[in-house]
Amino acid sequence: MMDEPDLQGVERELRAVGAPPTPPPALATAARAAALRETPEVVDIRRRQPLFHRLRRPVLAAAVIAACVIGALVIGVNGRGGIDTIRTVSMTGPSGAQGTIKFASAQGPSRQVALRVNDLPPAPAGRYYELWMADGSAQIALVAFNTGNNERAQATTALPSDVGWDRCWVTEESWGGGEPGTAPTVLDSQA
Amino acid sequence: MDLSSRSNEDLLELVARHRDGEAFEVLYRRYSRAVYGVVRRMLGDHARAEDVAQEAFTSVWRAAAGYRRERGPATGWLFAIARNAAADALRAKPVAELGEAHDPVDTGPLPEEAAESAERAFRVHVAVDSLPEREREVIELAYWEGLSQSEVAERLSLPLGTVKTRTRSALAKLGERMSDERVAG
Repeated sequence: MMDEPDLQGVERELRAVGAPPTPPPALATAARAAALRETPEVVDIRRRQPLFHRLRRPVLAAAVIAACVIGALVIGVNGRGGIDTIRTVSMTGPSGAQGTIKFASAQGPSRQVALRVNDLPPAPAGRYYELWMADGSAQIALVAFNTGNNERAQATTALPSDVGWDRCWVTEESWGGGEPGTAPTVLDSQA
Repeated sequence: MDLSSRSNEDLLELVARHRDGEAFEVLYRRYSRAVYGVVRRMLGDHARAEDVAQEAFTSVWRAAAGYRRERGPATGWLFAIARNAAADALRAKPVAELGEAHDPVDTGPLPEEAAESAERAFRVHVAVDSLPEREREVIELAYWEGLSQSEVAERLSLPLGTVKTRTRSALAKLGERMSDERVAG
């Protein structure tokens, strides 16, 4: 998770470059048609890349996920390493994975939320886990994480005080993003 | 086979080795706005921008085999394709047709500032287009349409807390992706 000054830098970049122009609708058809008329140039693709290059993307993803988890921990963990729990929600998964989420009493604008997961294998390369909560019809992505080789993970983060929770679940997301609602659920409080 | 979750590098390899039209379509969906944006920035000419963007994607199809993973992310290669297509168009433009926006009769390299500006915008636009839809829409409304977070919440019929959560999550992802994507010439 990035710190506040970095996020402000991103905001500045977004505002500075502005929205991209919308491509004319005909471009898609024209580009496809033009491309398919073309013949390929020299084809010389290596079947296997050196180890460093094959590992670069997963290592990058792992580093970012680690940063997210560390960020969440920094946000949420109190001095004793625990939280003032007012409710605990249990989650189970089809493969035997288990998880608990502890909600703390509200402290001003937010409340602490502690996640603990057991028996969940590390996400495959290029993927990660994400904790979700439903507040009515709204779905909130609360924290991204991954499990270690011991198939465990714990993270603490914050939830706005005015947001409730009807259901909690964990999905396995693709690092490159994906269509909403298509990520498989690996833990669910309603399972 | 669902290609939407495949990496750009994998998609380029599918185009190069198998002339995979679906992989090309996925690349087009991911990059069309950013590529068109680069061309528009550099040409400043609506009419020609469409033709040049089309030429850029044709080049992607034709030259996909020229991409080498070891030289960097596919995003950099795609930016270079778009930039070069725009540069070629500018060089080919007859002097008599140059408008006020392109008065310098310069058939050499493009001004460094223009290329830097295009690269910066490309990196941001690609990063935004890579976000999940639920996060992309809040970013676009807040930063490109100028809506407050409360207005975004109202527009999307979402709780304000959800908008804030999605915004922060999206900004963090954008920061990582924009710094990862070193766009090379």
